[in-house]
Amino acid sequence: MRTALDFHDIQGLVLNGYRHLNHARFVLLQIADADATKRWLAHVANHIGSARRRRGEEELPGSQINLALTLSGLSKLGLPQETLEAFPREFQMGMDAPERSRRLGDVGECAPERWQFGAPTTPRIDLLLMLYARDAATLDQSTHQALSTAPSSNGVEEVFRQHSVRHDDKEPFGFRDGISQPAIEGSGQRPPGQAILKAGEFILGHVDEYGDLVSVPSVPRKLDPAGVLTPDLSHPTHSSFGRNGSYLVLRKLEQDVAGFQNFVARASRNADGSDNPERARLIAAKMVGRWPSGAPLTLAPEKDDPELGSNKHRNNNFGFAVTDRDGFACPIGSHIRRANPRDALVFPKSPARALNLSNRHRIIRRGRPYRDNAEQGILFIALNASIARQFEFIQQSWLNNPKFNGLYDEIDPLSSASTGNGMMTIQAKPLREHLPGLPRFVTMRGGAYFFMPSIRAIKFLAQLRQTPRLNQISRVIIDQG
Amino acid sequence: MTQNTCTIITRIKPENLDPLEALLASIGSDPGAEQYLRLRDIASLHMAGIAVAARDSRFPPILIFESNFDGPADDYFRELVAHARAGLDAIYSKCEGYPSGASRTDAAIIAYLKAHNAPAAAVFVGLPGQTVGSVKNAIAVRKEINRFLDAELAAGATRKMSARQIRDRIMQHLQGASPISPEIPPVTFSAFRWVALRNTIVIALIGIVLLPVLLPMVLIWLLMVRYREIREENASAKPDPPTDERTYAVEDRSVQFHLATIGVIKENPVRRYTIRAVLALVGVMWRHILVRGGFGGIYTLHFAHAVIIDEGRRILLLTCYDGSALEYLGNFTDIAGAYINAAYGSVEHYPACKWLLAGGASGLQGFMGWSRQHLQYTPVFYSAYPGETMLNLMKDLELRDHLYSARSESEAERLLQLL
Repeated sequence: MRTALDFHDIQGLVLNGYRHLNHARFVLLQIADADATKRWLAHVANHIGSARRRRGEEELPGSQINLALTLSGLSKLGLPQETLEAFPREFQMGMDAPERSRRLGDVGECAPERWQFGAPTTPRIDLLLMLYARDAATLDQSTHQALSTAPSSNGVEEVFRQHSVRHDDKEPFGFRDGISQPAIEGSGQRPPGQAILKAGEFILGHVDEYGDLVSVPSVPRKLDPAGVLTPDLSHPTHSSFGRNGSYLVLRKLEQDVAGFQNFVARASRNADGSDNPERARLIAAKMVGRWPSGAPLTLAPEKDDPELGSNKHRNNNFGFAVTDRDGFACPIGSHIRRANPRDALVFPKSPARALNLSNRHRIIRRGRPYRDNAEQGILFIALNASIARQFEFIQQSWLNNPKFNGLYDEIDPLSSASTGNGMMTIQAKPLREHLPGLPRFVTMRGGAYFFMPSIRAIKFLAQLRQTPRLNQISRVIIDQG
Repeated sequence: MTQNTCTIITRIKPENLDPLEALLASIGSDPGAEQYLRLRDIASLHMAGIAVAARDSRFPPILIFESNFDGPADDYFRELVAHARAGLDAIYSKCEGYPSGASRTDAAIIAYLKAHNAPAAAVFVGLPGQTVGSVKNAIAVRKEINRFLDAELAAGATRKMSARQIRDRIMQHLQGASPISPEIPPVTFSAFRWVALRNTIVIALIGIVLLPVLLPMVLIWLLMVRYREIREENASAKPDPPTDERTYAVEDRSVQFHLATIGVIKENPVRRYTIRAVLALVGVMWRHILVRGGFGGIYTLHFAHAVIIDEGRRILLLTCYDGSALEYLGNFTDIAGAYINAAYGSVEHYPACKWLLAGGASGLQGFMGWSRQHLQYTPVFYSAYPGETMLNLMKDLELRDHLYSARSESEAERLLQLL
């Protein structure tokens, strides 16, 4: 069954990373007055960027606004209990729940108790406002328009704010980022060499890669007298609240750039103790799976190939099974191979079946770099239809799994929360090499699970009459902007 | 040596359910080291799990103690009582029928355990013929080789060496200064490749001989099953208890874990006979064909067995696996749904199957929901080698068992790639 996507109803971030908009601001809000928030939502809903099919980036507007809510936010806006309970367990629990932390590896230095936001000890998050613009002035103007000068008049209070400026396509460690993205059926995307995945992998209410039409949260039709939402075909008395929505994972990941550079310099030294910059570049690339230009090691095993790295028809058009099953070019435990093993899994052995399995665990990445004085890193954003099956699975079963794909005792060399004595195997002939003493390069600084509703669902929330009483909660406003 | 399994199923005295679960939770915090069961002292024990099934009001609460061990069951029971007497007393005194007072002798306890040992209808062993000692030796050999080679690499000793020369260095070390020596069993794991091939041919030949008789029966039987599947599509059975939230809390804490799943068999003669016939067939397949580490293409399963309990009213499936629970259950949808459908297609509320093997587990949401709802709380899991996956162990065995025979350059290359 081919998917017909309602581009006007899907928020733009699902299909567009706004790569032409280099300035971004992410504002975490808490709802203090639900009625005022609804009036504000009614206003904001008209400015939410939709996923209308793009006809060339120059035609896109100079700024974009997208919005997502936590379970707490949905509850405060009056979504009935039966609807809230229909959301998946992991979304209901939240990223900071101990069970989720265990699966995600958010322990020790990365534990929620140490987070800047989203932790049990920090102010509760209800809403995420994502603003993108061509330049700083436009972003300020857009932020001002969205929030007005007095945020409290909108019924929301600011909990956290993160500013992001992207100068190029590289993440702080110096590697071109965001190259590999899944293509969505019906979106018009045709990336070379990549499978086009069912829309239900990323957009609720559509058939997924299992051929399932997974049920989505719905609301009694009586709560939607104006018929803002579309009917829920599986529940005749209900309207579909979840359709065309997506789950959004937000994680602020601090990157220890100096630590990374020092490690590869140390690990690459010659026997006489002298530096070996060429080998340092190779070791860094082996850890990532790509060269700084973005050229994949599988296609450029010896040295960087900037032309390949920047060629979008070639830089993601590869598998591992045929040319590099044993990991002699791109190590089995490298970051990109763990995050997306493509067609090379120990089982199923068949490349086609392995690719099919890998494609059931993909995410759309919309991360942005940040820098707060000395701290820098990525505000990681992932979109998927099942946080447990997609984002959490990648994190738990692939990135953080010491046994990934037949390996023994090593986790992702780049992003996993190593205890400081990690190890990586670099497959080679005749004998593998071990990189011992891997420290932690990435530290989790805060995060939350959100539901990014369709534009119809935002309008529905704005007109929803049933509003629970809110507790008056004192809040601390942290402005990192 | 052949691995065996036992499943001791006892009724829990209802008033003792809470104290028993608390005791098991305490034991489960470290089942190898604690003073009750001392499972680590039982040299023949590979893996064990203790589950409680007490949430379905249609059935009395039961305790399930599963063990996978080397050698005969009688020897294992003697070892268990010798090492775990304190734990057995503490646990089973909360169950019905456990000897008390002066009659609680070792012999009486062994008799009690044997009397409650439910026979398995089908048994899967991931690494047949490999004793606990053999597995642990293979792990130790691999670790020693890695330690030795890392030191050699750091010293530059292996630079410009061929694979065969490196292999020779390894052999010199293992036969010299190494604290560990390879102990290759008489029947290696690799030899089961030929066992599987031989058994497949034999079973296929038997099948061909019996085909004229069996085919009409199988076709009629399949039609009857399909008829039931269609009839049951809109049937409403009494709902099963909701998901036990504690099952989430105990899983994914280490590399390996144990799942105990119970389903109520549909009340229909076709279904009852179907599940027994399927388990008999599956049992032959598991025991004689799937002897190369894989379970229908899944390489995370160490042990599995199915038991019919409650006078044929329920089926219990016990599995020792590695990896996350989500990945493990998802593998059945992704890779081996037919295997699980054959067993569970005749169970209430299981996602609808077609022709017994299709449908069912192939839909992730339905299968995952059903599995979650039917998992039993397993507070105790023990493994003699808890940090190893099936893939790790298969490589370890292959490495150790081919150290002596890998003499050519290409054989040595293949050997080194296992590290």
